[in-house]
Amino acid sequence: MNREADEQAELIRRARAGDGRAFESLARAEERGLYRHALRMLGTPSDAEDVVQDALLSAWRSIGAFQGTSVRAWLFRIATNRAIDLLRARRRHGGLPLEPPDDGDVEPRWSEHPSGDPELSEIAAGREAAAIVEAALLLIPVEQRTALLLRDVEGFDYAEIGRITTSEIGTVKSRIHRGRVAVRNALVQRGWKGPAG
Amino acid sequence: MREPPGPPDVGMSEMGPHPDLELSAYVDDALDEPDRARVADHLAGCATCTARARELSATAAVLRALPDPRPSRSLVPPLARAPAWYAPARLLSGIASGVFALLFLAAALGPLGTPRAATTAAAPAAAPKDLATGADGRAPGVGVAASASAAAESAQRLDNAASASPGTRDAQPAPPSAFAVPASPARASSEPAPAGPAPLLWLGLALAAGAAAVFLHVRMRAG
Repeated sequence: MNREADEQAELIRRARAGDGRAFESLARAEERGLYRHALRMLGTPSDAEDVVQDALLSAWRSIGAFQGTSVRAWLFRIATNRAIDLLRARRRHGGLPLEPPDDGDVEPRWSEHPSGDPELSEIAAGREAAAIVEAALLLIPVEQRTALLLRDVEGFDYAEIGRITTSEIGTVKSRIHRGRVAVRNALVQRGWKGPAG
Repeated sequence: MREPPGPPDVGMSEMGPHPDLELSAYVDDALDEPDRARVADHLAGCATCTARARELSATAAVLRALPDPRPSRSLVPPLARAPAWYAPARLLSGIASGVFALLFLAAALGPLGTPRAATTAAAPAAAPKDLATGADGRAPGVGVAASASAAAESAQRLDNAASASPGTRDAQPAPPSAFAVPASPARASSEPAPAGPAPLLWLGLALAAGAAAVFLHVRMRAG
């Protein structure tokens, strides 16, 4: 672990000194995750690719100003901002329907489990669940979507998500929770009866 | 198997208010210790919140298990490009390699390869002057540095030619030569030309230029 951290610190130092190859090594390690994140935020592969490429180029241009220790969080912050900018631009140009507002501290509504058959308790483990979840993600407010993806897909902790999204911890907790409930509700509405046991 | 319908979104239980907004942070172990302990105490006596916490945890697991898509192209901008002069240098090296290879073939197989054969016969006439002026004994027309053995051999032939030429002998008697052998006019014209370094030189240049072209190509691809 320390060796990896040392190697990354050395790559950061070289990249900040203008070593393009060092920056490429740093970027390549995060390329896949950045694309995955941008795709789930935007919903279209070509937009996700453009956003990530633009974000990495922007990161290279500003690597000299990078002061932190987590290049990963820094790159995700840039890519997240780029994706949100694109979503806003789409909305301005009428390319997207209005998103539901981010409801702040209002508690989320929990859908009740449907009654009756067929038994679909295993839906969450199947391919169908992925399609349901991906569709549900695109319907929740972008702030919730961002926080939820950063937490559940990319594995950032709450403090890191706060730094990436420039939000307070309390706001991060609320967004993750409401986003997660929204995804859970989407699954429930398709017949999911919750985890066995 | 199925959980009962959930309580109102803002509600109370016998254990106090439902900690709904903290359930996700609880399952993520992201609460401070006092809050974590409070939520844990509530869950111990509230089946509804326990079921919800389990569903939230399962939902997070579903999100983690989403397919991992791949981009259709590399998204990392190529920053470490090769210097701009690599491309023309690679082209010139490739051309030079071809030219040198042709020169090598011409020198090895064609007229360029046997310059000595043509000039050896004429050497006796011109050589005495070279000898008298202390020339290095290099046969004219060879063009590329002759080896020491070739020079010695040429001097030996010239010694022989000088001793066989009455005019030359009258003008300047030849000194005794350690290489002197009986004169043989036929030998001067029929002696096969020794292999000169010219073909090898062209071959070496062709290989060097080719290696340079390959090196530049690899560096450009890597960059």
